[in-house]
Amino acid sequence: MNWYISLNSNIEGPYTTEQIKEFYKTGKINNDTYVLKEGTTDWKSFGMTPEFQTKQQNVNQQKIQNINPSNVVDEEGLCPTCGYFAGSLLACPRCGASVNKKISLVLVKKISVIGSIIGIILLWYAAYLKQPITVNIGDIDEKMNGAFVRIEGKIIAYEENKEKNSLRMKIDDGTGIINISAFNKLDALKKIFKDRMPGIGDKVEIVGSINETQKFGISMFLSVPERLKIIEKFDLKEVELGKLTRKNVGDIVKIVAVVSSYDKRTTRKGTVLHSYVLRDKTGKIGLTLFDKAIANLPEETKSLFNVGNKLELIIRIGEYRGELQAEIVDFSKIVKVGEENVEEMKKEEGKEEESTEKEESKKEEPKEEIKENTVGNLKKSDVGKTYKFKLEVITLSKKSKGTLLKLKDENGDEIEMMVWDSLSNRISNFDKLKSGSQIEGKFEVSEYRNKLQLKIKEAEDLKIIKK
Amino acid sequence: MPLVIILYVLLGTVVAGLLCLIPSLHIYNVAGIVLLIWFKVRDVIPYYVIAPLFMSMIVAYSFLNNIPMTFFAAADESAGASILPSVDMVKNGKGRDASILSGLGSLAGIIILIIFTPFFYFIWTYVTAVISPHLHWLLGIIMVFYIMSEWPKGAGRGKTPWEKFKDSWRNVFAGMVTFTLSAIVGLIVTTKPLTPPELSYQSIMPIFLGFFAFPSIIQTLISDSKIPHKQYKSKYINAGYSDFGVAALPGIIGGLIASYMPAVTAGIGAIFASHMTNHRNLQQASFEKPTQPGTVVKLYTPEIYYQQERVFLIGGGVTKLLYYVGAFLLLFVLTDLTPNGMGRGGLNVLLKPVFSPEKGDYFIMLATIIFSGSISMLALIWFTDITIKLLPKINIKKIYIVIIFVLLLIVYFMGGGLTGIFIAAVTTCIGCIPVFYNCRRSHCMAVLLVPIALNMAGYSDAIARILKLI
Repeated sequence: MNWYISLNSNIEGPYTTEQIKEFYKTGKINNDTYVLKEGTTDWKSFGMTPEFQTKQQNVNQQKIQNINPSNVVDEEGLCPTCGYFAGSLLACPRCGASVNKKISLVLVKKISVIGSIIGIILLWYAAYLKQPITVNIGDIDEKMNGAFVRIEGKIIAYEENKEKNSLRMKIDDGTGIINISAFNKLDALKKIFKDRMPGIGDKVEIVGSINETQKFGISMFLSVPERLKIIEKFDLKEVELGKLTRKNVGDIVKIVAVVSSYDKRTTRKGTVLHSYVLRDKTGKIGLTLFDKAIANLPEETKSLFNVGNKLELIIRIGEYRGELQAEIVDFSKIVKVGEENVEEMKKEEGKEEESTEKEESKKEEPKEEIKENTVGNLKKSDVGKTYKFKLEVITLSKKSKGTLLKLKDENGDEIEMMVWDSLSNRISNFDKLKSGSQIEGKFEVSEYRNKLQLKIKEAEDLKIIKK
Repeated sequence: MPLVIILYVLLGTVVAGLLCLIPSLHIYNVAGIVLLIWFKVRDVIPYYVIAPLFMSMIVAYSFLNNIPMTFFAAADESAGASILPSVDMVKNGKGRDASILSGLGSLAGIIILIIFTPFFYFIWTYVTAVISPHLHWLLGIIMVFYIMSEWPKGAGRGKTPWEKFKDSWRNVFAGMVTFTLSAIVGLIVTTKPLTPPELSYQSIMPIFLGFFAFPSIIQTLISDSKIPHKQYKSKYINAGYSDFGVAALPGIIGGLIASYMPAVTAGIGAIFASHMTNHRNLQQASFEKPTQPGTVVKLYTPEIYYQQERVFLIGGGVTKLLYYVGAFLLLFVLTDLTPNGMGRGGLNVLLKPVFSPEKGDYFIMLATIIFSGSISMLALIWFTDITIKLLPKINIKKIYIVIIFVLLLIVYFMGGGLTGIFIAAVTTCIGCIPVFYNCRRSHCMAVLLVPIALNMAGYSDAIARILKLI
């Protein structure tokens, strides 16, 4: 048997096996030197060539070579490890893997092809049947990035961009607000809705994918126009400011009011805020605009906020530190309807407020009677009803925008209640709640993901009786 | 603050380095687990260490995953395609060289990042502005190239013309089938994802474990392959400066393509780059037989062949680092055109909800890469030596059986329970086609390529309607 050796990028040979062994002993070649058996084209390092290996190494090699050829090769003769053509060889000439298989490669091949096709059909059918889960906007956290879900809520901001054929909305479902973006879909949406396009105040259902970034918060992409549905068309009502209560938080209404005062202030972080008070004959409400928002408005819109101007505007009722606040939902729909003397208006209003307070103090408000209940007695038909409960806290888990309480009643029946941060901040000692604490209060029964839950409407409705 | 960052960089390097030694476990799976832990202890860990922590993890992965990739199996196609010649080198007892050469390539990748990225910082944004409107058809071209690059093999094997035809076109057809099936899976899961909303941040995980990890394990378990126990530990690595010079170009091209183009992995980038620079088809040619003993023949010595292998491995190391680390680094390129950074790569998608870059982070990231890369390179040499010592003692099949259970648990608890297992089962079947029909596994990347290209071209609705998923 003759050999060639590769030394210093040159090939030398042919040499006999004995000569090669002698070269190794004298140090002319080492384990790393490449050698080639005459008649082959596969260079191997000296140390890995069976002919030059020790006895034990040769025994292992023999084991591979002595396998019965009849049960070795798959129908194509490919190495199952690297796919190299092994033909009738017992070990792959490229990677050295034995082609003596314990499991039929043909069987694995058939399973992979048939499994792929059947699997894809099942996958498609599962997706076809899949109905997206409805989630509360307040429940959306970082782990839900990319989730395919349904949300229901009111449109509180709406902006069409005809140039980019896109639509942006803000949806509020009472637990949080989410931005909706429909890029390049405006024409398609107009085709579907025609003259009944969704607008501010409409209750809508949207199915899409959640996109959450640390910088911009949560948003949803509406990639398929058919996945936007109007549940309830909004009927815009004009209200008097004096009749607004906390129950109206989140409502979108039309008001006619006079800009009665203006104040400019700067926060500790350097943000400039413009605070206005809007009054009508029955009451007043605050309105705060960020400097950035004002700066982007056209001059004629800016001038509408001059003190004394009587405006007709669509607002969303918000709340800040326990006080009702107006949030303008559409600057383009603000109309100046006149001008008024603010000082006189304030005086008149002061008199009216005094007399109203006196009258109100005389009246006794009829108290709504709320029954006591236990968790175990609750049924699906109770959804929407309010009961009094005495409950013990089992666990508290902090979510991105609230705290989820797992509670049990005296009988040990369990139920969950989400307390949003906007409410928990106003509940005294809420931060001291722990496992074993006891609470009582008036809670509304609601349903979330097919499970009954308790809902707290006002901060005053929850009392901690044992910390 | 710098000390805290250094501590977390060390922690990230050590955790990722150790976990990435486990064959078939991908850095994005590890990052997903770390992120889940972070959700629980976010009040304890300072916000400013998130980026350095994850950056050090991905750097450590780029280096240390060379060990399981070289000696056992690649966790994904990107990794596998960049270390192809290591199979031959392990066979020749040079697995240690192969592992370290890939690591040296990654080290070269870090030097390239340090030298060039300050320029890229300003150029990339303009490149983005020019390329962005054309991305959909560029991705289309990549897909076409990709399918066409599956060259007919084995034409001379059969006896009859039909057998010859069948043999030569089998792998091309298998590639097309894999591509099509993967694309359908991609269209289904992007139009109507089946993963529960609470685990959506990991929705792609069962798909990728199915496409890449499980088929590799199945292949190893049924093939009865043996890793040569005898691996040499040389004092010097047989590579010269010229090898790095030759390897840098395809490495940079492959890395740039992979880190910039969405859904293009290092494997695809490396194939592109090797075609562009003609470093492909490392076939051993026969040599001219000397007529006299001792005659010197200069044509095609094995050194030239193994130099090509070395160049491929170093280039693959460069590509791998630029793909994994470079793509994440692009997130920190904050300019007027990219005020929120350039989001590329899987780690960016994972971290987007919990982290947003700020000005100045870019240089903290470069420092993190240098620090973590240096430690990882030393750790790579050390762990490679330990691995070659342990090779004769370990039973890789038993390890793989344990890994299968670990991966199944990961899929079950982090990938959507039984739904995740079902998705992983389907993609495992598809992932087995390229493995057992001898075509490129990167065809499975059609799961991302096709939906992204269709979405960019505005046809995703139409396809969803055809599939009746609306």
